[in-house]
Amino acid sequence: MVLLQPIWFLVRRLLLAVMVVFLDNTVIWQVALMTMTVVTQVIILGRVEPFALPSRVRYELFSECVVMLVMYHMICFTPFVSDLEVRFRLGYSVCTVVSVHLSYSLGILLKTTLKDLWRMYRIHNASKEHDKQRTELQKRLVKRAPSIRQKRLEKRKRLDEEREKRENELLEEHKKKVLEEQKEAEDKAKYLKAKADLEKVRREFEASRPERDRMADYVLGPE
Amino acid sequence: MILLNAVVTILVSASLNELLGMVNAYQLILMMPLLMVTLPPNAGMYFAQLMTIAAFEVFDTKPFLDRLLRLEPTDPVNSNYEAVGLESLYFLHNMGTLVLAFVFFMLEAAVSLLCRSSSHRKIKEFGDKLHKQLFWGSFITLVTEAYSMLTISCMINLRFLSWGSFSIGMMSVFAILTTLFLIAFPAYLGWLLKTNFQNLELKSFK
Repeated sequence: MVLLQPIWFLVRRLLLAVMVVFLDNTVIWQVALMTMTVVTQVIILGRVEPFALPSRVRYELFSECVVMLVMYHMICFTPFVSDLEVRFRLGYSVCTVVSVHLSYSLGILLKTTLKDLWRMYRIHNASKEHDKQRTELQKRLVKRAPSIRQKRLEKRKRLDEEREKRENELLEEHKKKVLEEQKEAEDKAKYLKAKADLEKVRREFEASRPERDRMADYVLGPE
Repeated sequence: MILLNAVVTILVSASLNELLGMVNAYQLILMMPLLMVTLPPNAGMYFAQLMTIAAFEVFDTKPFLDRLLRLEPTDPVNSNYEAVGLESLYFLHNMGTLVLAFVFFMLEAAVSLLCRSSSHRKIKEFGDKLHKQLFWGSFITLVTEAYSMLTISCMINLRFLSWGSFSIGMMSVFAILTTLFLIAFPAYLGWLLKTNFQNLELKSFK
């Protein structure tokens, strides 16, 4: 909905251009369309709230009021007001209205510019102070630099030693583990070999059974 | 002395023009005298002065365009149009210095394209930067700020459309094409803002 504002900004100008050029024989339509655009803009300002700052919304509303006032003056410059002297006075009136709006707008612009300048001045001062503090800190660090460097080197050395020790421990543990695994594998192989031998003997014994039975018959005699 | 005076005038009118450009309501207020009304002389003079500042006519492009396109001078639609600076029926005449702004934009686009096609790294980076700024920085700002003047100039040309000579015919075709662009522009801008709504606050997008 917020996107209505930039689109309406352009569509309004397009409508007004069409109205001004093509409806030049019917002032009533020109006035009616102009009023419609002002009312639509006010509805968008109130309903959609396209601007984040309330001051901007107030300014836009003020601008719309001025547009409306100028348009009412334009109505008086039609045959609706036939007295030339009244028209002349209304001419001054419209100049005053536009001038007031122009002064107000320029005032706001001046105020914003001065505010920005003040902020820039403060930022400049703050950055100068910051630079000063940083220079002092750098000087102090340069003074303390040798001791700090030595401490850092010692710390690094200590850390290196600790790391080396830890690595050695891990290496030893790994070696021990590998040896244990190797021993276990050898034991397992021996066990399997013994088991295979035993099985072989048993098979041989089983194979020689008929021969043994015949020999037993021969020695003991048939039953 | 004359040169100094001219420079000061240009600077003052440029700054005032910038200030007036910021005040969007003036685009509408300055359109008011174009309604079918008879302004009293005091108001007419006041609006004419205001328009002189707002139009920021640094160079008179009319003689140059006349010579280039061989155009015959025309009368304004009426005295109200003449008072606010719309002194012709032709689109390019009424645009005034804005023509130069659009020519400058086209040149900028050409430079950007050339730089982007270069093999040199720094020139390519410059071209990319220019291309990024070109659309959001130059084009949209230029069209939005000049939208009132563009639409009015186009509509006048469309109202009094003529095909008398090749130049006038070209001007009419140009006015029709620009009108189509101006009608499509709000829709395109709306679509563009809607699709990039989440990124509008990003610094890279700006």
